[in-house]
Amino acid sequence: MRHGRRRITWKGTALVVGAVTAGCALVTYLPQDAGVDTPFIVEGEVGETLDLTYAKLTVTEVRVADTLTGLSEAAAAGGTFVVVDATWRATQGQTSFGGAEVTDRQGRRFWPTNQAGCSTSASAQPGYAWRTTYCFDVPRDALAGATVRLARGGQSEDHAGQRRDAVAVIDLGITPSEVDTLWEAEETVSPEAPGYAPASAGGSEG
Amino acid sequence: MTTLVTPAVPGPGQGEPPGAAPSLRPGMLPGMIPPDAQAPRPRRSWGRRNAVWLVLLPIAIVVAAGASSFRVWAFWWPVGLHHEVDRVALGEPAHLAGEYYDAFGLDVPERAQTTVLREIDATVTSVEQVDQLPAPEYGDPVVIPDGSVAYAVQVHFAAELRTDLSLCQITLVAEDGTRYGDSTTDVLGSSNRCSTPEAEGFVSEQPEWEVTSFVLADPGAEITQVRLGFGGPEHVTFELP
Amino acid sequence: MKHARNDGPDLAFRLGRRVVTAVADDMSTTQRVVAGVVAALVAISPFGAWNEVEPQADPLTVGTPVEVGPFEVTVEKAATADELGHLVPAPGNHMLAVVAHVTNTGEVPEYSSTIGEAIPAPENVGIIPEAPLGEPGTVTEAAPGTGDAPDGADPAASPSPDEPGLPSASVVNIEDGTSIRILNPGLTYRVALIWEQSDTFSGDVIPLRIMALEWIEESAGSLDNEYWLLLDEVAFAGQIPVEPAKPAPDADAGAQ
Repeated sequence: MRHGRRRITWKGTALVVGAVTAGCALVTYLPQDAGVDTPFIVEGEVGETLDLTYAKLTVTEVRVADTLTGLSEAAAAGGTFVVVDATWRATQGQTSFGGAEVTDRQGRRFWPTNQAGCSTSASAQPGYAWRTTYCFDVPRDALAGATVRLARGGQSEDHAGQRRDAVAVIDLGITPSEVDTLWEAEETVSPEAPGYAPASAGGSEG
Repeated sequence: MTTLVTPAVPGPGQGEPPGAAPSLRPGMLPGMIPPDAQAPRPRRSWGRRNAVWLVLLPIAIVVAAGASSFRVWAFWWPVGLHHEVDRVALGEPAHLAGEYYDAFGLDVPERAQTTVLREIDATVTSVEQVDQLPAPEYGDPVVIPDGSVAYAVQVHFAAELRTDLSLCQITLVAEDGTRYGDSTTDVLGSSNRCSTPEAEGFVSEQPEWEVTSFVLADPGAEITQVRLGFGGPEHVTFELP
Repeated sequence: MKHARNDGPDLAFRLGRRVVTAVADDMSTTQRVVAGVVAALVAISPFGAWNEVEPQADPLTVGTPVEVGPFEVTVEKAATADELGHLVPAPGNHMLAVVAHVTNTGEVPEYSSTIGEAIPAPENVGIIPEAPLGEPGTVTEAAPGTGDAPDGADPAASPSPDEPGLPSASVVNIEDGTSIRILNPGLTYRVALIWEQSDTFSGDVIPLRIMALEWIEESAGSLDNEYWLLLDEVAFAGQIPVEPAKPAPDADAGAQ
């Protein structure tokens, strides 16, 4: 075995420092996470049934509401509630659907409320369709072009639970011209409790 | 590990009195040995010099993989039905034996904090589609939802008295691998699927008993197996004709 | 001892010189400069050369928006009430509410607990401590509040001089009276931060502090990333006038 009986030279130091710097630069700037983190995004629109491999998902209806009334409480929106009715049909086994988030055109993210009978997650098994209502309080400038992102993985910690997994991103279909009408409408919605969907996952409303 | 600077090792002929300011050449720290002081040795090839590490490398990889494999049995293996201990045809008895750890001893206090061997003989006597679901023990009647069909699974059990039956799963497996009814709660809201409806607690009260569990499935599904387990990893499989 | 006294500094000096000589003797000028700078940096480190300048708490006044982590907070008023919705005080107590407009100015939702923790219970105004310590029965008529806040620290409400474990506030959305959990970006909520207060307090101002929140992009100490860390550092402090109790607290909440 040869021991490192070497003198410290500027050249050697530069080599080591340079190598470490290059390594750090590679780790920092190469998109290495993209390969391990990126979810498989399935895009769709309201009424379309999306195949997420672990479930079939249909967003059946999107409404807005100023007020939500539930069994024990009423919730008033800080902006307006976007009420998303969705139907899950699990296809592999019992599955919990923990992710529900609205994203606006500016990239801002909005999480659902659990007030007034709204759900923030769902759980279902194969063999039936399960209807769930999510309610998101959003400001006026988030309405146009907003999308809802639903998945079995949770969205907290930067969508950590959705890595390398199928995620549905559904355009809520709100055009800029509709925003005024939606914002000014004084709707009150009573979200239905989660339950068996009246129809199969075809998306038709019953 | 390669170190750039090794501790001062006074070599032969380098034993200067410590403390005295030695006249070192520029770029050298005290105690360092000039590179040209090394005895010239014939250079061996890179492979020869690193032969030991090259041999150790695959061994280290195997050891590292083995050391992290605890996750398989610690996190994956116990959660889910991963160990099929018996496989029989419809109507034949299957023997399900598996150990579990009873943390609290809720129904049988003397079992608290012990590992218990659970042995149950189970026979799936019939799997049939039904048009209606019976009234549940609690709550409103359940109507078979549109776009679903319901199966009634009849199972005959035989086990020692006070065998723990909690976390019972009676799952219908379709040809494509879909698992219908793998929740511990059935469609009627019973969370103790292997016990008779009148049973109190989660342990068996008779030497032999029979249960009917209802499972929703897709209309076109071709059911090929029934799986019975108690949270896993051990389970038994009944093959349907 | 005489020798020791005289030799002490001299010996240290000689030793030091030897070390410096041994190290520096054969260095080039550049190396000496670099070594000198490094030695100087090391030498000043124990004296807090790298500590951040201690920020002073900024004034907090009613109606002036302040930036607290991801929130813009405007304190509107403080008020007392006999009961607020489902929050019912024990006998001898009432509820103290700080009404504030809170806007999440960030891009992601925040939990209301973040703002609840950033605005701790005002001290020395008879806030009832956490449940196990706060025996409502111990409150007596002794030492009624004298009118200004610091003196309002009644020994009756808190047996020990330093009030143990004041609870964090219940955060209630005033518009609908529900507990609010998620504050989505771009929205302003009029919220009440509510504590239970002893009736022995009768001051007309309370001292309110807002703690600093620091964004942790990547935590060096734990595996948690991207969250607001509550610092033990007062960012804003001020005296907030308290409106006296009104007969109908719910009307008060819904009036504005």
